[in-house]
Amino acid sequence: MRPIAVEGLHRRFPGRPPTTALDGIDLDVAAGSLVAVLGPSGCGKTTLLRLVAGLDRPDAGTIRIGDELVEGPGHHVAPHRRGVGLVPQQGALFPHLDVAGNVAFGLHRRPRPDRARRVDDLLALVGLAGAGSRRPDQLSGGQQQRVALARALAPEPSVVLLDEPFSALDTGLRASLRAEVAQLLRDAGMTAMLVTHDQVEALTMADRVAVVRDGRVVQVGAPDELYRRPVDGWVGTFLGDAVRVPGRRTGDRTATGPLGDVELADGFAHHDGPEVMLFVRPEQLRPDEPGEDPTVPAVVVGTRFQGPDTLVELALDAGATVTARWSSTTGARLGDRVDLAVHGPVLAHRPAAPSDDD
Amino acid sequence: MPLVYLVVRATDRGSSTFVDLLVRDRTAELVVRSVELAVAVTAACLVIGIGSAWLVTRTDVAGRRFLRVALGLPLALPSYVAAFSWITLWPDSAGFRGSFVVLVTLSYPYVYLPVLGALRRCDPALEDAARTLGLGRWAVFRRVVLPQLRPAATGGGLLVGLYVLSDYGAVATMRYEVLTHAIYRSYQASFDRTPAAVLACVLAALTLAVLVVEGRLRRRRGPVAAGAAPIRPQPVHALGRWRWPALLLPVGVLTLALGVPAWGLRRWSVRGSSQADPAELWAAAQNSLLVGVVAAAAVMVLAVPVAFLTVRHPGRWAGAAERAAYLGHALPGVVVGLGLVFFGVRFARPWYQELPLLVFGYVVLFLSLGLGAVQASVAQVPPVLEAVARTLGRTAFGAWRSVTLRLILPGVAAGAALVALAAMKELPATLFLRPTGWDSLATGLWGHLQAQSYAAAAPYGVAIVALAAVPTALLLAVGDRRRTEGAAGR
Repeated sequence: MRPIAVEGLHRRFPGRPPTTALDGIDLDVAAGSLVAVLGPSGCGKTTLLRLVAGLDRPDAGTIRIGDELVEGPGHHVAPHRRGVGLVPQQGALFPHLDVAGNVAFGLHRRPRPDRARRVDDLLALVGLAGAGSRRPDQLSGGQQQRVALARALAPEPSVVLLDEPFSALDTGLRASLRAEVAQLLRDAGMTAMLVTHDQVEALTMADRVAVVRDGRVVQVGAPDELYRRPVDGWVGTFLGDAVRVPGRRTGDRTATGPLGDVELADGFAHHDGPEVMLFVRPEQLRPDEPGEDPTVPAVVVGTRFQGPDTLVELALDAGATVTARWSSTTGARLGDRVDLAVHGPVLAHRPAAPSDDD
Repeated sequence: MPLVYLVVRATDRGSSTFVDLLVRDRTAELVVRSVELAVAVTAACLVIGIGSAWLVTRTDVAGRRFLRVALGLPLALPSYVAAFSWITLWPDSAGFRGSFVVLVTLSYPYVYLPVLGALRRCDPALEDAARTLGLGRWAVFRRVVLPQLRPAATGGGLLVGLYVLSDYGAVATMRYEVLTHAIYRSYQASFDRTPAAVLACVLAALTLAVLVVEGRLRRRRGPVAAGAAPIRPQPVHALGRWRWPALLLPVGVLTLALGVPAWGLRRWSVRGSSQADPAELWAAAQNSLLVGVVAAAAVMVLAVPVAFLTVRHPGRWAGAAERAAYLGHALPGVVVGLGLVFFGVRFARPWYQELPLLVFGYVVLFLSLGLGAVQASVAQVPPVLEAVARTLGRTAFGAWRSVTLRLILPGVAAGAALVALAAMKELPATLFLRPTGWDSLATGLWGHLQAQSYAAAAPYGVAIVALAAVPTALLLAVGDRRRTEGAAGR
């Protein structure tokens, strides 16, 4: 159980034009915690993982695992001496070995009886006791992923790296396996780094999430903080549905716009303005209950039923159309007039440059 | 490299001699004949190849599962065995007719196999959509299916063309004067080898022209399906009362391609009074095996690194190495053989007419055969497996050895087997490069057939078919089946 400390990592790939995969990444993974590196495809997150594993070398920057410098100027510890476990996409089990052979692959330095016991323990740990003699192609996708995890954990690595480990699985299976694996890593007290482009995966599994864009970390924090207080509109929309309306700063912690006069969240670096982009989540806009004030008059112009929730499209009387997420029991209908109330923190971001909406 | 020495040797006597020889009527006549034969055979192969591939995949013709594999087998038969059987059966066929029949029956699988694969990859939804848009069955085939087969069919057709241009055994047996035949004759007949060299240059130029055409066509890709086509069961047309009559095409082809040579081998053994010397036969078999195995080993030593270079680190060097390998394969055995003879005489005297030069010739000819097999297996090993092995405590080399090498081994073995078998069957290059008095099964068979001692030739023929042709055919059939099943399983 050792922490990972990444500092100022740069990596460029030659080509025409050369691509900058990592442009000065700083990231700390505390001992025993699970950090998700979240970003769109091509943001450099897989490169980061390969560098931490030692499978590729950076152009600049340092990586420490525990107290040991494993990567630095003129210094490189080979991957097989780093003590990292890797769970790749789609498992990547060795097709020429059975399940037990795969799990035992990293135990080649241990005495034989010890090996068999460790394999049995790990297969039991991932819920596949007795499956040791099966071949990888006889396993389902979820089972393959468990074997890959067992294989990575077998040599007792000090950190585990997971590379989009659930991306190839069905939705239902993905959700249950996510919870299971997160619990398993936590129980083992394992330091883990997960890279993913799936914000639900990052938010549900990780202790902390680092959002990466264009080779840089744009925000790090606990999942709920990131979701509620994204540093800019891009991070906000990347992490989930967002309501963004133009506004204007009226004071230190106040602003005004189509949502009326709103109070800005405490302890957040709001954009100075005067023109700003106001940010709330759809679930923060609710129909007014008696006694609440101030309210925003609007009319329902569209509904999208999504099971427990309904996305309700609302045309504000003050201009602008916004989407709210209401419980389906509310029973919004087209043409209904409602008075909206804004719950929770409102953020003021820099007004969007056109490219922010990509 | 053999090519360079060929050009050097051809222009040795001064450029005027070279030009004189080049513009002779006879040269033009040979070129026309070679091209005529190549075009005629290719056209016939396209019809037979596409037709039989369609029959065994898209109709309920009787016994189609067996036919599907059997139709690929003639590819492995040496052309000199088939040609001699034909000439025994039908002595009047000597000349264009016989060469045409033999080459068509042996080389149509070059079209049949890729078209078979392409037919299985077609998305049937396209055909369904065409039917609903008001096209009849025949119109669907012509306007929807055929365009999807075009890349496979043109690729196969060009292979047929190359094969015909480079074949020596069939045309020599049929006494049909085309370039390959003329080159060997003029090499043997006179002390002045310049005419042979000039003709070989012409043949090489012709082959290169075909390659250039192929490159052009390949760049101009055929229609590409939008998105990955899901593998769905192919529509099967019920032939109704044509179900049995339709068998005539594939069964007829197989009879001509496999039946006639089998009959020929039997026939020889009961004809004439000549007899094979068992000791000579045994020695020839040993020689064949020896050079086959050594050539396979030599090819693999080169093919494994080149395969890794081309698959994992594609770039200028890798591309050049790959193209060189394929060029060697496209060159006729006659050209490579003659080129190496000149090279050996001038620069490697101690090697001239010795086994190392012969093995080197095989490497030039068959490197791409082995390379293809190894490349396919390397491409199937995801690099991430090696990465995982390294994080599990293996060194870079240890990870390669315990994972990647282990996984490509079947491909390496299959490639080596293909090379060994091809080397054992190869006739013209062996005739050029073998040590004096040294015989392999192929040259032994050839010698006896030339001497008209058919009964003596028969055991050589049987041995070559058993040792080289049958295993090659099985390897190709199994390889093809595994590929298509692999594609369907995904």
